[in-house]
Amino acid sequence: MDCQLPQVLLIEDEEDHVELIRRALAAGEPPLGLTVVRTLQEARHHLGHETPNLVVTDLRLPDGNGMEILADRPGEARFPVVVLTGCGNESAAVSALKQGALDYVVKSDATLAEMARIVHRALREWQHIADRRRAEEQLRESEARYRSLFEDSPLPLREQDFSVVKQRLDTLRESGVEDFRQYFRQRPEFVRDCLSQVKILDMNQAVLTLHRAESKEQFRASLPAIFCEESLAAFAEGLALIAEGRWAFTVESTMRTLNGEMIRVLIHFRAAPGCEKNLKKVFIAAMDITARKQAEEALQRAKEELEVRVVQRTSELAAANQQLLREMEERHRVDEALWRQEADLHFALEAADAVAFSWDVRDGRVRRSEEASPVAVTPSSCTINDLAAQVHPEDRWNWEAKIQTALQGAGQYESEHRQMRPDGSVGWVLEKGRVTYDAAGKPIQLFGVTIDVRKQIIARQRIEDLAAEAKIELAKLHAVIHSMREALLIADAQGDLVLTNPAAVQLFGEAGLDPVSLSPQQCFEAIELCDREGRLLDCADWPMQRILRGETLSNVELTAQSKATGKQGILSCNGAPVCDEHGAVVLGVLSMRDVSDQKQSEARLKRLQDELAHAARVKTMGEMASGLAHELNQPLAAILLKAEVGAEKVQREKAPQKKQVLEVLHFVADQAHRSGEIIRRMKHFVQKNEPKQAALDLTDAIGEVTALLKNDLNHAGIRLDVRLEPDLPQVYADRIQFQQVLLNLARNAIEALEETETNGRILTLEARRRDGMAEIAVSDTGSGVPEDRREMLFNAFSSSKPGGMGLGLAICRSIIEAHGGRIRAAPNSPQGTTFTFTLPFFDKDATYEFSTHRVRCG
Amino acid sequence: MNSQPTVFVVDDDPAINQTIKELVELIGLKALVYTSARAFLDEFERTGPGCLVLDVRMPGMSGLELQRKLTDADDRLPVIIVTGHADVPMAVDAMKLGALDFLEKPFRTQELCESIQRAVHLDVERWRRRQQQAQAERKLECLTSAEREVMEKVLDGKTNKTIALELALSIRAVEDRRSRMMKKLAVKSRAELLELVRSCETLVEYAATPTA
Repeated sequence: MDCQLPQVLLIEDEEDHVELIRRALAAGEPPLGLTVVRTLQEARHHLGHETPNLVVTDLRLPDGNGMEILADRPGEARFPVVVLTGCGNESAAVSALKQGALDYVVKSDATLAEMARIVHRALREWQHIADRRRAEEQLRESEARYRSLFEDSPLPLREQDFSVVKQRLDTLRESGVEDFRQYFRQRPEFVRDCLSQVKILDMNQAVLTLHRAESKEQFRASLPAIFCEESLAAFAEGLALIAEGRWAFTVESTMRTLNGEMIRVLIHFRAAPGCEKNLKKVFIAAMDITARKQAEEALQRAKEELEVRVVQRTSELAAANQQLLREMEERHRVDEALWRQEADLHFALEAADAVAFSWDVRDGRVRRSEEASPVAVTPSSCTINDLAAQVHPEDRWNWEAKIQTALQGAGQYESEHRQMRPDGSVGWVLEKGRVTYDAAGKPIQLFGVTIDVRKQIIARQRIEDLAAEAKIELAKLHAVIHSMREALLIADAQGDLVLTNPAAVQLFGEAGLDPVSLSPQQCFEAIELCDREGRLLDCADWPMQRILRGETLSNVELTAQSKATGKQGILSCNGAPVCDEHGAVVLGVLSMRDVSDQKQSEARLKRLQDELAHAARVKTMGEMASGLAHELNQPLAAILLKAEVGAEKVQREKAPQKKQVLEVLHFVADQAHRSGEIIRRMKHFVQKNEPKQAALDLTDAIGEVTALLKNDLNHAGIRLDVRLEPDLPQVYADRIQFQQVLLNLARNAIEALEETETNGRILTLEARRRDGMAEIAVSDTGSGVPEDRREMLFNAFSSSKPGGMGLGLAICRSIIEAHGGRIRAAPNSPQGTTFTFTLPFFDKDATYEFSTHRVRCG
Repeated sequence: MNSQPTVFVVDDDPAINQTIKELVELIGLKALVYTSARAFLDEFERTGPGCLVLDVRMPGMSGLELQRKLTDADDRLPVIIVTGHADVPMAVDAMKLGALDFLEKPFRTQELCESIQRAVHLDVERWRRRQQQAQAERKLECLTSAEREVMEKVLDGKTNKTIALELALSIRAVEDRRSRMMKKLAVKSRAELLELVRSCETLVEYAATPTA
């Protein structure tokens, strides 16, 4: 038999049927292998060692029912059976099919002819069935394997149905919820609800073990206990992930065992293949990570604790470190302080040119500090003998005695002595020492300091010298004060006299007073003091009082009268206060001089000056005599002419007219009067008056002077320019003396002009206000004053005129200055000189003082 | 020709001025008074004979200055100085400047009168001569150069013939010229001609008296 061809076993006893079937099968495609048996036995025999692909059997067989083949088949049939029957009915067919026949065919011409198709169809069906059976078997196998895997997996696995939950979530999403986690947080009941809608399809053993459940039923029954509150959070997270469309994820969760333990699990959620969308079947694997978690937590705690400990430890260490540093610093500071102290001591000693030493009394050793000083003459380590050796031989005994006294109980000594230096020189030192004693009172050590006092010795000497000098100077000052003619009084701030000199004693003596024993009060009572105007002074205005108040007095003139003796005198006082650094008055120094004689001299001098001024005026008038004469000639000539002409006229007239005669007589009278005026002016100028200052109208006074000058001006062909400022107030001056000055200056100007070109001879008189005084100027266009004469101009006895006494300008100056004004000369441009003098204006409210004027001779 | 002689009085003292004026009028002359030299100079016009009575000491221009000014001019008035302040230098200066007289105030009217009359007389004479000269000169100017030539020859005393020879003219020509010249000058004889010419010369000479 060909193995490639499907083999068909035909069990049929009717040969023609066999033949028909054979032909039919041969005509069909694909070709088949056919084996024909006629009996059951043969069939069984064949089937015993070969398995055909198909058995076609007739029902009616010689040795039985073809159906028995069906029954032969143990369990699963290895081959399909198609039943043929010549007769048949539905129940038989049904029975045959029930028994496992593949097909039931009623024999007919048609069906026999169709055998190929039927066979092929059966083969196909049987193939299908076989395939299906194989598939089912495979499935069962795989199922079993799966089941085994599932059941026996050490990993707790659950099979669950989340479809309802999924639907609900989808609905939720479609309704617009976006933030599921927030939604679940707000609706815990929803979460619980979903939890209850999860169907557990299956769980494996491991699940039970995990949850300490004894059976699956117990597990199912205890779900609420297992899924505790803590689990809900994880569940909610899971829901959120599902809502987001995830069908595989991992969450951590907490659950309870049926023992009540809390376990931590890692949930792996995975949808079964094909159920990704609807989550009809999902696998949940839970890994008990409790232990791991605990370990993690423990580890974390341990780590934290470790960290805390580390931090603590670190801060402890840091603190310790800080402490250590501080201690080090402290030590360092102390060290430094010590060092500095030592250095300071060293510097101090050096600065003081000193050395310190200590003498151990018991072993005699002396140690000396290391300063470089001229005083350090012994080695730094030596004996007491060495120390003694450097003391000057003449001072040594004294020094030793002092030390002995100190050692024996005095405790300290001081010695100023000479020191022998290595270079042979001798220095002066001051040595001071102190002794320390033991408990028994015996001296242990002597600490001493040796200081170079050479400078101090020298200074002391110097002071002594200065003191001697000062004494001498003081004696001189004393002598001066004693011998000075001026009375000197020095008073303290309270006004009590601390110093007077003999001159003061004498001055006061004339008033019958002794200043030494005088109190200020006694002074006030004994003497009357008046000021220059004659006003009696109050105590407070006395000179010393004024000085003590801080005033400086300069040539203050007072009249003093002793009430006792009635003696009077004029005193000139000068003085000033002496102040301390704060400006408070400490002393008042007053010097006074009796100037009565001086005053008399001054008065006499004034009189002489007035006489001189008068003499000058007279002289002036003498010089002007010819001018005067000329002036007088004019009216005289007029009188003469008029008289003669008048007489002639009268002579010629037959009947002389009274009017004519009267006219002549009036004319003559006028002219005579005019002459009189001229003479009177002259006389007035020349007269000897006690000068008296009064209100003087400048215009008037100047007018009179120009009248006097008219003649000279005309003679010299000089043009006179008078410029008076309008509304000039009156000046305070003596009329005659003012005119004298003006006339003098004008005549000088005329003289100067006479020497110049006849053209352009101009004399200008001006009067104006300036700086609160009247200023009068006399200007000429002459040749001017040469430079070498300018300084001497106003000096007496300097004159440019031969035979001139040179008093004119000097007298002018003394007159003007006596009036309180000033006179000066300045050159004009292009040529000439201007003399300017000032006078005070008359102030009817002011009191006027009379001042002296002097003619300066130098 | 002759206007009345005028006496000019310049003195700053009006009393003097007035009185002198009276005196001048008394002696039958005209007086014009001024109180300053300047005023006089501004107004003065020489229209006839006269004289000047002048004070010296005046404000502005002095008398001597005025005198000097007048000296510079060609036609001088005789000057009489009257002054109240007389000294030698002043007198000398005034005389050098050509003053006719120098009187000191006060003076008697007689003195002044005499001076004035003398001065006026002098000036009248001079005036007349001046007129003559002017006339003569005017006439001389009318001569042609040819006539002048002849005139000079005639003045030299030369004859017509000599003149004709010297000028290379015919005697007729000379005669013609001579007669024309004589007619122009309005002289009838050589003596008159001489006199005419001399009057010009004399005045020129007179004018050249020493100046100060």
